Amino acid sequence: MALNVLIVDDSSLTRKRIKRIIEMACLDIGQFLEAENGLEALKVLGEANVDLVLADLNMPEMGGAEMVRQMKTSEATKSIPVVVVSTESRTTRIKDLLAEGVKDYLHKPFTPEEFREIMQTLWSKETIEFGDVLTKALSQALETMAFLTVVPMEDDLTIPEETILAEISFTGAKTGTIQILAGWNFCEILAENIGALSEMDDKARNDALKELANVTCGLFLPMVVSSTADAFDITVPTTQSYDNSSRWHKFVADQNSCVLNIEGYMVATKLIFED
Amino acid sequence: MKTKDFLGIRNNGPLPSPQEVEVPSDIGDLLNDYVESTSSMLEEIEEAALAYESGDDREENATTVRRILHKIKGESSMVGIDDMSELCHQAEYAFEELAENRRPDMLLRFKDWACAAIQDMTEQTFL
Repeated sequence: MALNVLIVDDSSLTRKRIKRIIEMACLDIGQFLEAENGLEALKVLGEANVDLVLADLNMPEMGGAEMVRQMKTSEATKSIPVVVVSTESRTTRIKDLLAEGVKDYLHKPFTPEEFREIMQTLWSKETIEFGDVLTKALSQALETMAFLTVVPMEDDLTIPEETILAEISFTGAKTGTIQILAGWNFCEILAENIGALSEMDDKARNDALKELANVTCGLFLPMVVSSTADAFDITVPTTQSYDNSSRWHKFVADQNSCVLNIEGYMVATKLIFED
Repeated sequence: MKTKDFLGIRNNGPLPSPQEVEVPSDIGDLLNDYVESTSSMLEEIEEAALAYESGDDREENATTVRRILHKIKGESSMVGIDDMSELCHQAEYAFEELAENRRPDMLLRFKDWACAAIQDMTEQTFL
């Protein structure tokens, strides 16, 4: 997804330069917003959708540190990541800021590579970006257990009428739920490929999707924690069948859901994180 | 990139030639913005230096000087003109180290040197 970036610096030259560096990093950036100081930045934050703030420290009217403090007091802005961009080196001041909730630090001038690295660190920390990790885990699970491959989306795929929703929850270093919604016909292919022994009935379809949810969750969790020592409690996957397409439409309408094309079948997945 | 030695701004010693400031070859149209922005800040610092010398609002003028030096340093390093950034860095030290009555002279020397360097950069682009 395209990220909207707010650049806060009292030098228009520096804002222009930062914008260029970000453009060179070849990331999916939506909109560039600019502010001359912390006060102006807070105003922009109140009016626009911002995903990332890059802020200088020394600015007239309101500096970067005070801006971060103010952002933390508002429900709407407290979780927007702020990266400080400054000529100051990693001094005590920077350490204090990191303790106050600043996500990271870039030394002026920074390279497109340094920016990309920071984005990747933030990516793995933020909920929205975990969605990508989930689809990666799901693709791996499909390949290893059912020899099925995720292929690029096409326009003419059929929306599944009869669907099954599988759900698996985990608690530990992170707490949340993974949902997978797939059509009955896909679940049948899945059941065949994983070598289900029972005859093809509702139970076989549900069991196959439960198994997929289980393996996906098992692959997903190690990807989102920094230490392998983090333990999780994982629930037994549950499923529910639906016999019309309204469930599908409701599921994919959620902006956190992601639809994949698995060899011609549409499968949707969603990650619900609890803080 | 290794920068030149600007210790001379601190001990009133020799400085490198302003014509030797290295400008990155890929600076493009940012050079115009840089020249414009730096020139106006150099004028500001000259005013602040003279006001500082007169003795009125010393603290306020000192704050202005610090802010401008810091800003030129930041903008110079953002566009990759590291020599200018280093000059500002040393001037920041000089301003804190020197006795109050010697600060204005240092600032004017800083301003003249930086103006000459900027002048040279503009001429280079028209060649």
